[in-house]
Amino acid sequence: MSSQEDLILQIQNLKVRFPMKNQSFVHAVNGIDLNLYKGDSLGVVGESGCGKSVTFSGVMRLIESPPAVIEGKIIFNNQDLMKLSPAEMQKIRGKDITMIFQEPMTSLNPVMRIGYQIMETLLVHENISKKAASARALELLELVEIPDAAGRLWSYPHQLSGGLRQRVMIAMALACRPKILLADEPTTALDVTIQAQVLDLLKRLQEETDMSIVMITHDLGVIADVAKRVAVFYAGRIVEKASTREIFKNPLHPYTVGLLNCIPTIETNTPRLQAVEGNIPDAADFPPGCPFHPRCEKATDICHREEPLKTTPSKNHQVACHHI
Amino acid sequence: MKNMLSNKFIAIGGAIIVFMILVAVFAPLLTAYDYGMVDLPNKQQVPNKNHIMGTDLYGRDVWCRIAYGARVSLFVSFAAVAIAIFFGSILGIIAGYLKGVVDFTLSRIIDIMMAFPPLLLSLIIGVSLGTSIRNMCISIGVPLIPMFFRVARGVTLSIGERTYVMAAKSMGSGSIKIMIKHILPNVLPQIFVVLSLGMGGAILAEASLGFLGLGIPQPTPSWGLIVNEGKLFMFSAPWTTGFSGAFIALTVLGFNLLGDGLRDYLDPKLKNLEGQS
Amino acid sequence: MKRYILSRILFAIPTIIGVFILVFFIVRLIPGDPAVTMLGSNATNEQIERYREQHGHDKPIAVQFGIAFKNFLKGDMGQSLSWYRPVREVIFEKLPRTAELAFFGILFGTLAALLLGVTAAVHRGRWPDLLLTAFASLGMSLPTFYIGLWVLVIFAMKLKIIPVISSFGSGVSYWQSLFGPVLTMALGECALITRTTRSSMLEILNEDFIRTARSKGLSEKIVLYKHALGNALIPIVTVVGYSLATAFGGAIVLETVFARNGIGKLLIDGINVRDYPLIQGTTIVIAILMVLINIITDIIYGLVDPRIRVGENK
Ligand SMILES: Nc1ncnc2c1ncn2[C@@H]1O[C@H](COP(=O)(O)OP(=O)(O)OP(=O)(O)O)[C@@H](O)[C@H]1O
Ligand SMILES: [Mg+2]
Repeated sequence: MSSQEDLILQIQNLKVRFPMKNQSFVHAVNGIDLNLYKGDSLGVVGESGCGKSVTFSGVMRLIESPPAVIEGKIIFNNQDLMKLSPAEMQKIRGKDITMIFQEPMTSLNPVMRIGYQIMETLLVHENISKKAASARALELLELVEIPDAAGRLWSYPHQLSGGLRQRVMIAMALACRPKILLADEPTTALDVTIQAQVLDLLKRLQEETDMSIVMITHDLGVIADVAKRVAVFYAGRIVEKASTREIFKNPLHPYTVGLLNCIPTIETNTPRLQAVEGNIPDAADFPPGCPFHPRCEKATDICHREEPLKTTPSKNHQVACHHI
Repeated sequence: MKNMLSNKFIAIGGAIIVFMILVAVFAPLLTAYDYGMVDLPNKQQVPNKNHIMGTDLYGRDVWCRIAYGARVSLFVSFAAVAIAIFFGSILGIIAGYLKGVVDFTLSRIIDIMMAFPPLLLSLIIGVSLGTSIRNMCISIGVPLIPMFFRVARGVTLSIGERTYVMAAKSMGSGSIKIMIKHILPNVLPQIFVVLSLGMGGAILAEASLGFLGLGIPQPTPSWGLIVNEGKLFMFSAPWTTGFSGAFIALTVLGFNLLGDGLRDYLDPKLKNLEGQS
Repeated sequence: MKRYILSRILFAIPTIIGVFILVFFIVRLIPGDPAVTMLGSNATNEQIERYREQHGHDKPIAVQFGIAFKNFLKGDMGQSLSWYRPVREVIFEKLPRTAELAFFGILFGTLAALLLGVTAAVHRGRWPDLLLTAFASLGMSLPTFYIGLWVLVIFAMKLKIIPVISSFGSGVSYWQSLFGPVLTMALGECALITRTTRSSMLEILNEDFIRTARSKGLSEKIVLYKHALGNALIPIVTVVGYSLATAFGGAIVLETVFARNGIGKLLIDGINVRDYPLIQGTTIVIAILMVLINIITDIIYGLVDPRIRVGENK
């Protein structure tokens, strides 16, 4: 399936840094390479602060720059998104590439009716009448399985629960039948039962269309459920990338191994990953060499000195570690 | 203190206020004239070497009058604010501490005072008491009471439930003692912030009353009075009103900046009170 | 929402009664004798006695208050001593002049402030922001009369496009008569509203739903003016309402500067000739207007914020 024609989005050597007061930088993203294919479902895992949201907000060009410094290429439809004018980018954002966020409670405009917020997307990107747009908004609410959709169409966000609001966000993201849906921890803020429902919904919607989906999460359980491929993020880099099956069967990077050893079971249900002893390094001040070495059991001299290159031990499996 | 001055607003506002206070204190040293000295041959002179801000209708030196005016205007404003702080914070603490009927009654009375545009209240109180320096202080001070009342009441309400206040209560400390020992020290810093904004309001009020011809009476030069004396000649000799108005604006600016700076410095939460009263 | 509106109105009633009491007694304190003012200083004692009797001034103050309050409820505010007409009639004749000044002044001031405040917030920390913040600080520090006098110097004396005396008629058009005072009021009020808009916008621009709006592909103009300002308006409404309410007080100074025949100038003229009923009537009317505008502001506040207008569905 990962043939060259099916390639839909390429992230090439993406770097993002934020200036801080004392002339130094927070290096949030440090050279991400990632491909996304038609109908693909890519899982992105990593601890809090490892640059997942920044990477994909970068794809959407939602990071204010300046002040942020962004380098690299993001190729979609044979064009580099980084080079588009704001107006050209607006035509892609919300239409071809859409995003849903972690915080359903605050991600909807509190003074606008939800029906209108969905219609708004349709009205900017598609040449349709208001009436058609509102009919389509209703269909979308039904599509995301909101009970009593007709009655809720003209509600305000504060009248809906968190799970329903996230469904509205999904409806909005699907409005123009996007090619790529970036889901940034869409379920983290929801109750466990609601989480499962929302995930099922996303999975079903993805299977029914040829949309590609990127599922950002802390939760390897979600990855196992939804994703065909996985990228493991650490300190703004990808340390391992493979098919989901391969990752679970044959994890190579010590960090991935650590992650897998502590998959939250239903009983413990630790919501945040605490994969390995120690903390993620401060993005303002990375150690030299492999960013993971302070926490790595296998670390040797070379890990302190040199950053590991990517190796490809088997087809479709990539890893950045000196000890492979 | 050093930390405090690193706040731009406090530094600039403070500098302006210090400058104005120095002008007021050293007024006699800063000018060679007498503020009341009439010199008709030299009336309404354009600013020149001898009279840097020109002379007024009676040939009096405008800069001299402004410098002495700083004394009167700053004093009156300060006295007015002191009156407002005294009544506003005492009533506010009482309302916030006793709550219930007392709070309800006092709050309704404050509502009534806030039903008047501040200048209007100053105006009718001033007219009914008659214009004198003392009465000006009262009439400018009264409309400022709600501002201090609300801050004092708000702070008192928010700390009245804290454990140490409750503990003092349960140990049988008298209400008055608790209010003075435990509540007042918490109220004062907030009052201090509002004090600066209140001073700005008082300077403006004095100037506006003076402009309307209902301010501090002759012969003492207050900024309001100087403005009023010059206003009819705004077209032919704008310097009298021009310079005195600029001093008023600068002083108000100083107090506003200082107040904004102090508010950010002491308690960002107090921002919510902006634009009210 | 209905209960909310009703409670606002109920709370206003004791305030209005309090206003009446306060003004009644303050005005009684004003030195001088209405009878003397009315009849002139060479009136005989007998004439003065008769006048007092006719107007109930010989009765105890509590009785006088009762009568005045009863009349006030009937809409009778007494007879003006200087206009020789019912106070109510004079006030309602002048009120529109002040109302239009306040309305246009606040309207233009607010529109400008929204634009400036949004601009400042968008460029926070950079020169347009610093410039506008400085402008706003300065605007809040300038006395109204001072702005007004310079407006007169510039527009009436130098440019000669407006009259020195802003009452229309005799060759001065309606808009010409409004220009000076409206400009002055707009400039003054613009400062405070600009500040509020800026800080409110800064807060809103950090909200998650702004990111959502951008992610939908909306243009920056729509994100700023529809999504951000739509939310930022909620606190702004309060400040605009406050400005409109106090504008009737500000009119006292402005109408004096521009010699405009509104109730502000009416009050000052009344004070100068010690026309007690007129002073009392004007003051009460201004205060009641302020209370009413505050109620309307609260109601609009509720209307702009759906979280107040339509409660939870549960
Ligand atoms: N606007 C910003 N300015 C400065 N630093 C930022 C900004 N946005 C993100 N960062 C920093 O960049 C790093 C990566 O943040 P990011 O939000 O991408 O993490 P994440 O992997 O999405 O974490 P989480 O799982 O908590 O969402 C963090 O150290 C964060 O503090
Ligand atoms: Mg994130």
